[in-house]
Amino acid sequence: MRAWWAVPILALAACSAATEQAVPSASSSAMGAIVAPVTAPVASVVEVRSSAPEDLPKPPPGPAKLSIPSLDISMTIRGVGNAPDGTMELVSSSLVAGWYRFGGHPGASDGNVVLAAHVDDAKVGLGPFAKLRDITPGATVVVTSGDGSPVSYQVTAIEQTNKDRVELADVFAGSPSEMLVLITCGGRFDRDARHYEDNVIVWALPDGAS
Amino acid sequence: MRSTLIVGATAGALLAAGVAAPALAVAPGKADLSVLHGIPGLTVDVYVNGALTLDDFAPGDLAGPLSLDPGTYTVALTASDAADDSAPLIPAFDLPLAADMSYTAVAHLDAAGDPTASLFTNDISETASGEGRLTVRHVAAAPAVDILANGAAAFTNVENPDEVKADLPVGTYSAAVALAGSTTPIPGLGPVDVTLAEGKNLIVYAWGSATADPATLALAVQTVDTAMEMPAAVETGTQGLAADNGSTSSAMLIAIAGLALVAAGGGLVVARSRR
Repeated sequence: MRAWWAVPILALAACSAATEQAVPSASSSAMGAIVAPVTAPVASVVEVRSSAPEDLPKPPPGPAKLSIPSLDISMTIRGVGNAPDGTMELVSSSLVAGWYRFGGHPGASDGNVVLAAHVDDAKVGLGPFAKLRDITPGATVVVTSGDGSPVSYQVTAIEQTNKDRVELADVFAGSPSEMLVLITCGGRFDRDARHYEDNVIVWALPDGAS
Repeated sequence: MRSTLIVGATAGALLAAGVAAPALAVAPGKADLSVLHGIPGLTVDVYVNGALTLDDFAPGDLAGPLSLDPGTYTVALTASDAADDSAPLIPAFDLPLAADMSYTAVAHLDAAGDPTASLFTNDISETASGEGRLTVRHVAAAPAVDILANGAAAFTNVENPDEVKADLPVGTYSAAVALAGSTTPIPGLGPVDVTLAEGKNLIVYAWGSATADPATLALAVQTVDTAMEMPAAVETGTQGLAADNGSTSSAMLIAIAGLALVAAGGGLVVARSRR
């Protein structure tokens, strides 16, 4: 190994003058835009890890179970994404909460943990989240991850907002990014469109967070 | 069947909800930069704009991502015991970084085995629902290669320092690199299982040297987030049982019961088709 390196290093010594050159762009994307030089140091601490395939960080486990003792709610949780129409995908049964898997993971502070469930469905009738609007600030909500570790939250706010005005950006990309957000529907029901006019949203912070 | 059901329930709401802003894969107005060390056998120090940024950066190490202001950054690689960046191992090079983009700078060997550096732009455009992105980059001192997915050539004749990419259904694939025209993996370059996920670009590098004795070829992997549209609405209910509307007429109730049956039937179909 070392012997192999001897040749290139010696060769390099000849061109060690710090002549700057633009590094060739290997990507197909054009790099033509002229951008101003930046002279400040970029960072003092940079995270470094092994790039070996076996060392690729595994995503933290998603939530598996939701418990709200004060409302006698205990639900299983399933990961969901975006529905084809651009709305949040939901589990068809109101008994199961959907966890938005492109958001945060419980306990990881990598984004808000968003859980949504139908307030009702044709088979079950009213689901557990129909009780959400009765929750009180300070109530405990426990989300248990797939690996069995529980994360406890305390409710900080409850809102019922018309869907025309609801700030979904706060829900999905809000700051601080470690909140638990529970979403369901409420308000008047538009029988022609088959949807409720409001979102009921419960905000909670991890225990110990401020 | 399923999408039809959902659209039927939410079409009106979508009109009202407006357009949600996309969730960006990098912080707005910033550039993400990762750095991969793909030169075998040499630990280096990395200076950025004259300041020591990565101390004792070892082969196979991946640093970052750093969230940087857009601009041009000057990078120098020195021996790991250098006092400053006055004697770089390869000429200092400039990285022009634009806002809202993701990059990986790779120090690697060219096809002939000489150290060099390349700046790759990571594709962080949105992936379709149910698909993840696979990018493969040839940064090894090796001839043209084919990229094998599940044993068959998925990309052919890829040369240093080129990249190939594709959006594929999410799942786990067996990936390997073979000499062009061969389906036998090159020792050190797989097969390895890689998992593609929605919202992610999985980037695989073939690095090292085929001509060193012994060969130093290896695979490196990196994931970057791709852009993701935030949901435009959260439509959680179709029956009106929790509504504030008050009582409804018996004619309405009959209509609701009929709709409920339709919805229940749709639900059964959904359950079957999802299996």
